Amino acid sequence: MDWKVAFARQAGSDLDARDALLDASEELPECHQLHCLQMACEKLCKAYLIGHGSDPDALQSSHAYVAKTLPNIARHILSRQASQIPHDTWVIAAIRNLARRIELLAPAVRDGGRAETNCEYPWEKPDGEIVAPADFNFGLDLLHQKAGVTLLKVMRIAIAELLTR
Amino acid sequence: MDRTKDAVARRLAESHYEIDQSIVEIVRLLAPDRESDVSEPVKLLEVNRDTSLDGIVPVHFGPHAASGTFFPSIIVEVRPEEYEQIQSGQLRLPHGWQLGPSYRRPAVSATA
Repeated sequence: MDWKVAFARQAGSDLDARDALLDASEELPECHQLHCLQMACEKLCKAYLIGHGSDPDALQSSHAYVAKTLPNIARHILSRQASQIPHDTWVIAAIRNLARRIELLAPAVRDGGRAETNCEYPWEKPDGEIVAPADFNFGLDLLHQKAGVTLLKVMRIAIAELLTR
Repeated sequence: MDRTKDAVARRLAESHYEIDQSIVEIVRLLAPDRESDVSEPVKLLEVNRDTSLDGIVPVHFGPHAASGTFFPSIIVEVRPEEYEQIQSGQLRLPHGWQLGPSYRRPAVSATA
């Protein structure tokens, strides 16, 4: 197994963990499945950034690859899946917006200090209120948006392609 | 189906234009002395007004014969202002890559 495949393998496992969390309990706070989603997206993007012979250490230190890379991966895959999944022109724009929101779920990505919300650690709002991610409504329900469902399908296809290459 | 690298590059560019209206321009990237190698990926620089300002981030894809992509490919997405920096030499392409021919948006998708 090379680094590229290993990152894809782990991205797939993160997505499986997200599915298991969603199946296990509707009462579980959404931050947990979103954490799995954010990690899956990050590892999938890193898998596609690793070129032949590249050193993955250069990619390990940052979480800010999703907003830039995930729409690129989605467009490439959707452009050749004409009959299987929708490839209307609005989908890529919607996926780009979702990718930016998913990237901001990582606590290390602060959007220039504007984003405190994240799916792992509590934060303090400007009015001094302390918020736990478990109590926060992120408003990011992929299963009830066409672009979200498409993104999940694209991620599964992208992972499968790397694992079978 | 034309299996040459030039044809694959053109098909890739057209298919990306078709589903992403925010692409301003697509330019082929060429690796001097290696471009004719079968193992050398087809490389496209896609100028996109909606992407983030993160510099040159090459994304690597494998071949996909079913859709006519008979070579590995690399897609680099940059903002228009980054493309200007590449053209002026302020922002350097990796691996000695050079700007090649530009592909125009197909007329059909432009009016869709």
